[in-house]
Amino acid sequence: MTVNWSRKLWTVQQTNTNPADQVPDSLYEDGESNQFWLDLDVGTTEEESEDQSTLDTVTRAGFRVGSESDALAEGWRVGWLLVPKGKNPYDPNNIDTDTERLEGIGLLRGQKRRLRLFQTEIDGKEALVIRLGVPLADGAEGLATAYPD
Amino acid sequence: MKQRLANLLMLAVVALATAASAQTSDQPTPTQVLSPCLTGLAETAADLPMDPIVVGCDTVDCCPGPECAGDDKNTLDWVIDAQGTGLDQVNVSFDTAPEKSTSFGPGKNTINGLPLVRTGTPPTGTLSVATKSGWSGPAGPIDIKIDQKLGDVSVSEFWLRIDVQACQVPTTGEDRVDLTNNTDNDSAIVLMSERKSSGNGCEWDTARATDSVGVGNKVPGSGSCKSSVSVFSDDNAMAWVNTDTSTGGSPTWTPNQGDVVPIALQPPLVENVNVYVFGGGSLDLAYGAVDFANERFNANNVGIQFNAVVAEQTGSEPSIDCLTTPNPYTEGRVNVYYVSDTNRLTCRPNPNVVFVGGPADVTVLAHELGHSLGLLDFGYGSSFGDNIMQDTGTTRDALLDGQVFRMNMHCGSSLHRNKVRGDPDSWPWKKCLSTSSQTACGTAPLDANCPPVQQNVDPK
Repeated sequence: MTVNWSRKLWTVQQTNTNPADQVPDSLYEDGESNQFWLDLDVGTTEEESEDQSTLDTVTRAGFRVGSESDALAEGWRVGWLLVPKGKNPYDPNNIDTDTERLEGIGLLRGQKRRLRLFQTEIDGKEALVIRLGVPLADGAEGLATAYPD
Repeated sequence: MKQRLANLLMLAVVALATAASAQTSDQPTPTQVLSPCLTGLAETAADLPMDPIVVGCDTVDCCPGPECAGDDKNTLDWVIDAQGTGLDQVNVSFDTAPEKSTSFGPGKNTINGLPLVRTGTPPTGTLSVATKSGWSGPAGPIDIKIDQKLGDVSVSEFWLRIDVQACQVPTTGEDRVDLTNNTDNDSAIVLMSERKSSGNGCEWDTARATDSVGVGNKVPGSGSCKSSVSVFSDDNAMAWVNTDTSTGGSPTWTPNQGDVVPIALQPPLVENVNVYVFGGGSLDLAYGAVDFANERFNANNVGIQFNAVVAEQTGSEPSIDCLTTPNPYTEGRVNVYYVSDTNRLTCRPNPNVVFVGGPADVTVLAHELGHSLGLLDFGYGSSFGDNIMQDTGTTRDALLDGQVFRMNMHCGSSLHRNKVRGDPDSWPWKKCLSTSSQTACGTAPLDANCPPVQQNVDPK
């Protein structure tokens, strides 16, 4: 599958009904459209070092999250610079640092957080798997998906 | 003579190839070629599949010349020329003329007066050969040429060539893994790596065993693949044995059958865990989560138990951050913080730091301890929906053998950091593909001797 991150309008959905599995409320806003798009940009951001032991400040080309006002939850509006990383297609049985994704590190509610978007197909439809977690960590981060309109 | 034969170094029973000569060529060729293996075992050379040799003429009526000068003769002579560096003795026996049976050393010898039967069944002669004691062969073939003569006329020629091969011959019986101390005689899973039939890397074979199990003929590794045996069992630590000659394994697999690898299973490893329950967490949940982790890890043959001290904390919650060390913290143990934050995570730079935020169920701690031991997530859409390392779900309870291997062998595992196996140099840690916290492994390349994460045998 060829990953094409831009020129799409994505709609965030809560995939799971179990609260323990849902993406944090900071990424989903009840009653709003939850739609966003990605704009190309170049900027300064933090990223995980190759050995996964530190955060380094770097300048990278990536994508910014764009939306209509109030369309998105707070978690999308922290100025993420989402940088393309990895080269291997999304394989849910083998997700590692080589898996192709957009990844950004930003400050959410005063704490450093890591947002990752993986592009895949769900039930034959193009989709994003969205993970919000903590830099330099593995974890059960909860899950949301987004589909293009 | 039999006693002497038994004491000699003989040619092996197994011949790799036999080929009767039926070639048409200007150059003479052997009538029969044998290519046996030299084993050093005292096998009788009579066991070699030599063709019996008919005492008689190549022609039907045994009239070799235009005058049929031999018509009145009733006997044949065998002129035997036996040559070969390793040849010690040639034995010739005749079925219906046993009195003519004899033995001799290398060189030219004659057996006179063999009965020539013109009608009915002729006698046959059978050769056997003994090689010199201590001969390591091969240094040229052994050739035995028999020229049957009717008077002065050759009426039949036979040429036996024995090309001794310096090859390995299997002894009898399968290779075996012998388990001892298998608690409750669990049906343990035996995972063996062996070189691929072609290309680099390892193939993986499995067996089930309560005590001793035959595993076919395992061979030494080659190239990047080093042969080994791993054992996973309830109520026992995972065992790993190097069976590769090139890396100093002992015992090792050899090309022969009959090798035995004894493995004495040990009690489960114990990893110490401090669980700090802050205001946002629940003591009952923490206790239940520890019990769940211990029960599921044992049922999945992980061989690691968690000795947890659960304590309620009244201070402020630590910041969810993997670049600073939370307070309180004890090195040498896994430190788990139940907090009100929504994140559940294990830090890669220090897998001794685990945060469990709410809402959480009992499976979350087992999941995070899997990360602490070096495992990665299975993601949304994974075919392992009931796996403890599935990143979502509340029905997670399974682990794969490939994951169990990593938890026990990966140098990024908290077992390594916490010296649960003693001094780090005392255990053959591996930098496995598809693992977390590889920083602890340094710059070493990935080890080709880790099974795939999805390697698995069920039921446990």
